[in-house]
Amino acid sequence: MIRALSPEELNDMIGGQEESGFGALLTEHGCLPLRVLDVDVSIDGLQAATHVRQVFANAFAEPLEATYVFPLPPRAAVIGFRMTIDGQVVEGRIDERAKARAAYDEAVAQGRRAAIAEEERPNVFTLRVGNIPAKTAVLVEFTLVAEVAVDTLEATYRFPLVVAPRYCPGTALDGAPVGDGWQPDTDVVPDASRLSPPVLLPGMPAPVALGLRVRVARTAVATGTRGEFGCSLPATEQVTDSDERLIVVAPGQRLDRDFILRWRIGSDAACTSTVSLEPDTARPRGLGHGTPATEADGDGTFVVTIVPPAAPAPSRRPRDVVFVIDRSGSMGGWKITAARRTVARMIDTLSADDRVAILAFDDTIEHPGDAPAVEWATDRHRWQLVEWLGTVDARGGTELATSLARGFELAEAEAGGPVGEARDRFVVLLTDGQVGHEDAVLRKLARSARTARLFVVGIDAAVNDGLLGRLADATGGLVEFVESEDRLDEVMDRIRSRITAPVVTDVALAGSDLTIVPGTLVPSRLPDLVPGVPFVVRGRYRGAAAGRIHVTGLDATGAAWTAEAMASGGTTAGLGSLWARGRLRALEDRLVTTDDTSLEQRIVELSTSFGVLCRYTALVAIDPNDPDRVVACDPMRRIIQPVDYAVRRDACCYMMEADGARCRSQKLRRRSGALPPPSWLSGWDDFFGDGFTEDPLDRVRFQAADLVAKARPRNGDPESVSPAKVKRLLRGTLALLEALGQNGGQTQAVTEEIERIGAAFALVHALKTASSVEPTSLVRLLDVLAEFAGVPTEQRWWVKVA
Amino acid sequence: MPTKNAAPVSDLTLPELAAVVVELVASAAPVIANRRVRAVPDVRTIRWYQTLGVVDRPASYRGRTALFGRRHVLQVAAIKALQAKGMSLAEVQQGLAGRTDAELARAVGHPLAAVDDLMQRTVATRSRAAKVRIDRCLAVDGGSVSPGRAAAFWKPSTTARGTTADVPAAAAISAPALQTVPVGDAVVLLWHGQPLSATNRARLEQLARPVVAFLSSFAAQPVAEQAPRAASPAPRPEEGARP
Repeated sequence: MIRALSPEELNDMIGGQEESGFGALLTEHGCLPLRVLDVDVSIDGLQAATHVRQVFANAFAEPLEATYVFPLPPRAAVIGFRMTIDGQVVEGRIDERAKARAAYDEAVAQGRRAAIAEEERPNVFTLRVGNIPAKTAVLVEFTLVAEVAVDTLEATYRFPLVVAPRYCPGTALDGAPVGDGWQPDTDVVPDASRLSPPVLLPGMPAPVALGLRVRVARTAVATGTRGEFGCSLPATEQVTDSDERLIVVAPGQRLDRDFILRWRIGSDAACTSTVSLEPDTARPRGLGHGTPATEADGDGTFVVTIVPPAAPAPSRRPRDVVFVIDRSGSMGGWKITAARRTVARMIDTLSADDRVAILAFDDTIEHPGDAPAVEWATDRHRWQLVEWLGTVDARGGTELATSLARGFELAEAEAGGPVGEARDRFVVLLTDGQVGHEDAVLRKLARSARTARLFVVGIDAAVNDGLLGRLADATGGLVEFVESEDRLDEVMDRIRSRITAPVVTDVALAGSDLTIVPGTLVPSRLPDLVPGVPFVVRGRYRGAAAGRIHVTGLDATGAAWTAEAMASGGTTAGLGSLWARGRLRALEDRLVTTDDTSLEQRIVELSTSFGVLCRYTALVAIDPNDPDRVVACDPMRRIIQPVDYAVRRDACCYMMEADGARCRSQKLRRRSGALPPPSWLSGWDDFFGDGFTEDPLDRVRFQAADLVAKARPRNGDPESVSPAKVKRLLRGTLALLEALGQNGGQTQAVTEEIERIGAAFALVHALKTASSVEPTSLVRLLDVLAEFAGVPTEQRWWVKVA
Repeated sequence: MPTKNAAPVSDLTLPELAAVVVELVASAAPVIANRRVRAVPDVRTIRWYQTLGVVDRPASYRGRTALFGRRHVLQVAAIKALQAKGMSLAEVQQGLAGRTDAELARAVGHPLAAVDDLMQRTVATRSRAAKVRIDRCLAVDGGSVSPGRAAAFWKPSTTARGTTADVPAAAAISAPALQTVPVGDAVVLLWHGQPLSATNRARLEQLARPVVAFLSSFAAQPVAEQAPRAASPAPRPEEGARP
């Protein structure tokens, strides 16, 4: 049950303080409008009913327009939109995008309160709330139906929390930008300014209160083992009496990564093939107007899940594999290491019958050897490749379109290969997908991809799953997401086995007792069956709401293979919306690749009929009866909410104890405290090509804070610091002093800092020459470093609390 | 004297913006006392502020030059003033969100009229050469599209292996732009080398005049009366606004 917030609670969010003299923060929350993000998820089988609530507060004495660029799961269907001000609920409606914008602009110009939500990319949405009255809060609610990704062992629910910065190539366009973001619109990405919200600096308490609760049916979870849930944010499981398990994320988390919940699924759910149905008569009305669309012929929607047969004996055909590695600046840190590891492991699985090539791209494409071509994977060549991989580091931009097309060219080239022999061709793409020109990438891919299979490994804690999913759907390929090195350890075996031929090809569907409406299947290009990946297809059917669906195909030997699934009776809510969302995405992609403008009308018709948001429609809510219309000040205050920078370090994996016990984390890599670690800083430099520190000493300060944190022994006692740690600390301090010396002589300020930390030099000398570690000198050295770096007292682990 | 009916200034170049900001803040608070603040904002600092959202995007581009208006001046000056009082940039970001011009002026400690006045004075005292440059940029229709931030992503690759034909911008970076220096009426000098500063350009023009005069003496002969006029000047890059 979702409890609605009362108007008093909403208004309490802003603290109700008077506008104080400038120079002090307005309230303890500052002036930023977004105060609360609340997500309530209820998981049932393959679907997750998600309810997202955002609270915007206006702390000023004049009306405000707030803009928020935020992500949602790309395959989720947005089916509800509502705005609440002063206890009054305004229901939203769905309309063609230009018309919705015009209605919103007109309402705001008249001084009425209004909100509009638009989709920029499958996983990026923009919400504008206009004319928020002075000192009030607005609650905006979205209702979604999201997918749960299931494989034979575990189920995954992913909810993104932040839009990461994306590389937007092209030459900048003249004229006013179309959005409020900081990236300029370019000819390749004409809406780059809509995808780039400003970046929130760390060092302040999180301005947005995040609440996330997930309910999973007890029967869906494998029982018996403790810690069967894994989560990317610290969370606890709360004990409930109902037959659901409730996971609650700990308060105070920052919105800087995807929320991922994984659990081991019960064995009965894992092994059966099922069909579920939703007749149109049982479908809730929602935002749609209900009149049938030409795209949605038939009486209802079905989803068929087939569990593929086990992998046969390894008599596989020879393969041509091309690895395309993203080595752009955004892949800095653990991501490029993970990519290199994965490629090295996959190269290990090749034999001398196979051929292999590697391309590493940023602004340009590099490859080992003189010419890019697939070569026989002899032992020597594989070793050379792995050696070359070790030199691949992260730098530069992300030219994904040309590189992927080149990879496909190589994989499908006939020259040099034995004629007449059937070979499997694979292209493996390892990237975080953070690019703005998704349509251009898709267009180029559609022209070059023919027979090769694409396997995408998405490596990022806030990965661009929208784009990577689109790439996989367009080619009938697979995608695997890895959000940390721990996760890579878990799925490495699975990833290694992905570049093998599928167990069943040429898949076709047929129904008995109900007819499948042709041309309505999602995905439209039926994927081949791969061991471990359940085959999930949605479509429209005609006839009674009962029957069987047959899946036929050819197995590895060429013999016919068939499987059958029976409709289990009863209806599953939300199927229609999920099908419509998939169909809309397929039509949008087809419009991008074929430029067939008649599709636009079909898309808008399907979207408004089923009430599911897409790129060509928008959700708008306008307050109809407004007793005291706000008088807009001119120019109106407008704020675009800055967002946290997507975390670049490994996203930790938390395994939770059941029954309300506190969660414990495996290999906690996050450093607590306000200062970001140095790798964050250098990664930023590489990505944007600008230095950002005002103060040349900031980088050195970060290093000092890092040294101090790393020197901590397990029990936090300065007397038990190991000699190795001390040596590392001393070496680090000397490097720091050298760095300071290079900066020295610039300003009076720097010279003073050097003098202050010069005391450290004497201590270092004393520690080096002493035969054993002297705790008092060590503590004094740590004090000096902490003073220089500005480490707050609660993080000074060597200080004994009295 | 403040000119009441003058059009609002919206075409300050970056060095002019920096000069105005320094003058505004220096009289309001001792900036030097806070040693973490760099007094004169440069291109990278302004770009960083734009990424944070505390400074708006440039009012317009003319060729490759970004031009700024009063709101930008107030935003940068407010940031500096608050930093001088000891606020961190994170606090400034959250405190300055959505502020009107009047509130920003209050943070800086000067009335809006004084800021306007200062900007008008800066425009009025523009050197003649700077004015000619800006007018020339304004006269060229559209100008060359500014590479802007996109240029920062393109880094010339050091190990140039296997570059694709579809990646032209890397090549563009490595070839320095041609700069034009008009000399007299009929001749334009094409400079292919290090970017020229204003003084260098003036000196080059001065040095080239005798050569051009000598060549023109040949051109004065009947055959060369149909000599084609020089090509129209391409938009010149502005020094100080280079990325």
